[in-house]
Parts: sequence; structure tokens; C-alpha cells
Amino acid sequence: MKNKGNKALLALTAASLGLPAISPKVARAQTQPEGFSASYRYSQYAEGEQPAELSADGAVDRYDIEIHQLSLRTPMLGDAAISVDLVSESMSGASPWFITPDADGAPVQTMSGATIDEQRDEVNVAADIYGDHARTGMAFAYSTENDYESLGFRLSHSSYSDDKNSTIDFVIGGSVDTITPTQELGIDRVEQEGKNNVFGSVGLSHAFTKTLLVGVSGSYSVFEGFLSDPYKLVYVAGNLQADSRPSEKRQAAFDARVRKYFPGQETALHVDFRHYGDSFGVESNTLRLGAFKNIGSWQLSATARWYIQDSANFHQNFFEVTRADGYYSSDYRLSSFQALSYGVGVKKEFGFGAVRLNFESYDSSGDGGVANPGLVDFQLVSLGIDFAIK
Amino acid sequence: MKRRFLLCLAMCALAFTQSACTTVQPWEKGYLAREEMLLTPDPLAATLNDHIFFSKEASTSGSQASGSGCGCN
Repeated sequence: MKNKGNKALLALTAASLGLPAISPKVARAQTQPEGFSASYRYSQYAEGEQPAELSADGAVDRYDIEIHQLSLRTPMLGDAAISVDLVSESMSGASPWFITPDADGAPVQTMSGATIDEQRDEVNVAADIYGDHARTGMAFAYSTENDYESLGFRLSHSSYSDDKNSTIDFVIGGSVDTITPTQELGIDRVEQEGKNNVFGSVGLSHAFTKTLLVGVSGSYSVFEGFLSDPYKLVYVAGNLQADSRPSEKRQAAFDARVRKYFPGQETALHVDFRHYGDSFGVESNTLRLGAFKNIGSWQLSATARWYIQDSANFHQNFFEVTRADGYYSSDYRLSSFQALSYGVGVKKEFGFGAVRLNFESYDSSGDGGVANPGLVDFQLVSLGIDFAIK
Repeated sequence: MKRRFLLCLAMCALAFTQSACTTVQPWEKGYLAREEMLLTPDPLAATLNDHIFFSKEASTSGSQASGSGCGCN
């Protein structure tokens, strides 16, 4: 009986709910939140060791990161809501520095020497105003770390059909970033550089049936300024020189997400697809599948993600000859690779909210040709708690 | 590899299009309102994952660039 009552209440509540925006950073319901809510996540990110046979000097340690996330959200007078998101990350370890050919001509990775210790803190403040058939929001974000500052803003607007089965979202935003690389004796680095970014996206979501929701979106971004990595070097015709990339990058992406609920099995299935391309020559496809099984107040989840990426035009593990355009990078993130990740999770609902535990494992490997020796594997464990006060 | 990827995607799309289109009435939105049916069920987890992928892969999402930090390492 209690269960039936809850289902009826859920259905009535849902009648006024709608389909949220497709972008994670503007994921808002169609209506003003009913009360205060708070969520906290503690996560540990650990990169796998660098394979010794691919290491030039035998160094194998890579990055570990501890992450705290806190999200607070409350309704305000009238039809508004305010949310504050805080992130604090403590990072330590070593990262890929440059690649050289070994005696056999195979690429081997040299890691950054001493252990790097860094701290990053981010605050994101957002305000939303709700109408009968629309929501308008604005957000400001500030992120600071030892050598990097970023100030971002975002404006978003969502309009809903009369039956609230369809939503169209518009988002525009941008950021102004400044990098001041840590200087070390004997290493020639830029002292201070900046980069700017503007982006826009349009998303559409629609409930086709009472158990099927589909969302699609397209986005376009322009970056300009210092887009190279100041900490990476490149082996070019026998010499090491700074990573050098074009000062402008244009990128576009298409996203599609499908949610299907199977009432008999109390299970929701997710299919997410993303196609991406940019002016560096990188093209990628991402497919993510998810299953969420409800068992009373428990929920078990399993996800799998498959990612494939082509390399940037100016990426090679090392360069035997110079390039006419002067652009060079051996950054593994610009190489041709694929990555498979899988995750499992458990959530338990309580009267106050919910407690969650999630685990994700990510493995990357080369996709054609000789793989970049800096490719990374990692594992992520997250523990979270959600509170809601109505 | 891309062909295998697209084939996998097409199979998923085919499986989901077995549902007929209907107008969903307000009182029929119980399943759609469930957290696991949202396009972004857990925004904190999604933000963290976006940030990690932004740091490890070339295809950043545009909005992720806003106030997200260096991701240099």
C-alpha cells in the first residue's frame, strides 16, 4: 500500500516535471526546486603505472588525485533558485614529459622528474528563473590552481512545449584563462600566457512514450590564444623543443542520448553517442551504455564506455624531420587511440536522500600504428551522499 | 574499427525504436521522472567524468572549458 502511494505521488509530481537540458552543466528540471538540497562526493582517482618497457628512465609512477565535490541548491523568493558547486582537488605524481626513440627506433617515454604536488579549487555559482514554459539561467565559474586561473560564464535558456513533453535548450558561454607555468632551472618555458574560449549549443529533448526519452544536441566552440602544453617537449630531428600548437581551435560536437525504462524489470537503459571533430584534425566517437536496476530502495548500475579518437595533424611520437608549419606535439591526448571503460555502482535511498558508491576503470590503447607510450589507464572510486529538505 | 562502432550504435538505435510514439499525458510521467531516466542522472558524477575525460582525451566538450582548470597533466 505504501509503495502504491509513493508511486501515485511520484506520478503527480512528475506531471509538473519536465525534461532537463542535455548539457551536464545546465542539467535543470523544468520547475523550481521544492526545497533545499545538498550533495557531496568524495573521489579517488589513480592512474596505472607507466609500463617499464615504455619508460626511458624506468620511472613508472603517475598521477593520483583526491577530489571533494559539494553542491548546494535552494529555491529563492519568487520563481528563482540558486546553486553553488565547489570542487577541491589535490593532485600528486608525475606526468609524461617527452618521447624519444630508443636504440631500435621504438618510442620510449620520459616522465616529469620530481613528483608534482598541486591543488585546484573551483567555485561555480548559478541562478535560474522559472516560468510556466521556460527557464533562464546564468552561471559564473572560477577555478584556480598553482599555475592556472580560469574565469568562465554561461547563459542558458530552456523552452517547453505546452504538454511539457518537449524541451529546447540554448546555451552560450565562454572563459578567460591564464597560465603561469612553474619555472624550473634549466628548462625554458613560457612565463605567462592566456587563452579564451566561446561556445554555444542547442539541444532538443522529447518524451516519445511514457518510458522513452530522447535528447540530441549540437555544440560549437572556438578557442584562441596559447593552446600548447607548456610542460611538454617534443623530439624533432634530434633535438628537444617546446610543444607547439596552432593558436586557434574550432570544434563541433553532436550528442544523442536515449533513456528507456522497462517497468516489468524495474530497469532503465541508457545509450549515449557523441561525435566530435576539430580544426586540429582530431575526430572522435563515443558510445556509452548503461543499465540501472531497482530493487526496492536499492539501485544497482553498470556502465560501459567505448571511445575512439584519430590523431591531430601535427602529432607524432617523435619527428625525424621538421614540419613546414612548425607545429609539433607528442602529447598522448592528441594521438590516435581507443579507450574502454566500465563502471559499477550501488545506490541506497533513505528518508533524507541517498548514499552512493561507484567504481570506474579506464583502459586506453593505440588505434593503428605505433601507440603513444604515454597512454594512460586509471581507476576512479566515488562515495557520495545526497540530502533533500522539503 | 569505425564500422564496428557504427554497427553497434545502429543495433542500439534499432532496439530502442521498437516503442511506438504516443503523446505522454501528465499522469503518465512517473517513469520519466525517475532519476535514472534523466538525461544527466547524477550531475556531480557527470561533471567529474567530463573533467577527467577533458584532461585525458582530445575531444573536450565546449562547456567543459568554462572554469574547468588546466588539465595540463
